[in-house]
Amino acid sequence: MSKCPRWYGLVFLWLGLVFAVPAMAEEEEPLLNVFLKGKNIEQAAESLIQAISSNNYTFVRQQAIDSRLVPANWEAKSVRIIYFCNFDLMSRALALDTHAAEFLPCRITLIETGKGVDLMAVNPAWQSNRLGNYRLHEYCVKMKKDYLTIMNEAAL
Amino acid sequence: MKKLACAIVVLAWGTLAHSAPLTASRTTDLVDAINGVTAAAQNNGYELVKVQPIDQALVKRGYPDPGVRILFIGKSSAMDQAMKTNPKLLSVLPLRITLIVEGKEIMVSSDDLEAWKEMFPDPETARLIESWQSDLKTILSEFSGH
Repeated sequence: MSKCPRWYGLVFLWLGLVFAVPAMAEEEEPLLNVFLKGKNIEQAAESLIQAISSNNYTFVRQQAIDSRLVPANWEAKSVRIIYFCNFDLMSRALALDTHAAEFLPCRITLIETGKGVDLMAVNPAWQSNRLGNYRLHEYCVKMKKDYLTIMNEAAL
Repeated sequence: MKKLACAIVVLAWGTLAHSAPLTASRTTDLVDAINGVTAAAQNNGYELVKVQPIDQALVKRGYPDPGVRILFIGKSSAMDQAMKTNPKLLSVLPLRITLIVEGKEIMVSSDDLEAWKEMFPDPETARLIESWQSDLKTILSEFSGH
């Protein structure tokens, strides 16, 4: 019926992929960083937990980076992890793709330096870009926005 | 024409290809899988830091069971090495292993560290990431019995 050779279809398919995939795969940095100038790690953790609660997320736990790997009194004082989640978002993301577990629950690593505390989190939108699931990526873009809101609010 | 079609398929594949996490699976139940992964991790110098029962947490709050549980494993030397080599790597520690119930099988997957290697190509960082990848590969192989 069609006079178009079959390979035309393949060309169009490829062009579609070339233009559609990068539309999802916007340039994303692997890490989200916010620096809390002049705070110590205790103050930073407290601010962060408050910001987590005020943004509709649930604080899950905090631990030293080497918790359970060294005796409790040897644990690093300057590096801490805070875990948190939004159960509704977590349920919906996992229903879309169980690979969402790669970035759940949310975690922020706090590193105390002489001048303040560096907050660092893996960017979920960077991770979801690699999974190639457009619908999951939408959730991850929202999560990225939430991470930044929480981290910036903690820095106030 | 065939050559052109092949080239297009290869290009399309390259466009879609995403680096993937390491995976392994075994016919077993969740509890046995957790024990299996923990034992394999310990055989390779890692400790179980935390079992994160996100499946139970969701069910308790009225959500459907996603059949997913997360284990965090670590070793203190990895923390020290990351701190010295590239503190940005601390954000992936402790390492995460995901257990997914798939019928009678448990599929286990690790974080996709290949993408990190691409992001931090300096030799020292790449070497450290490669050593974690190698450890995770061994742990997953031991778990699956291969």
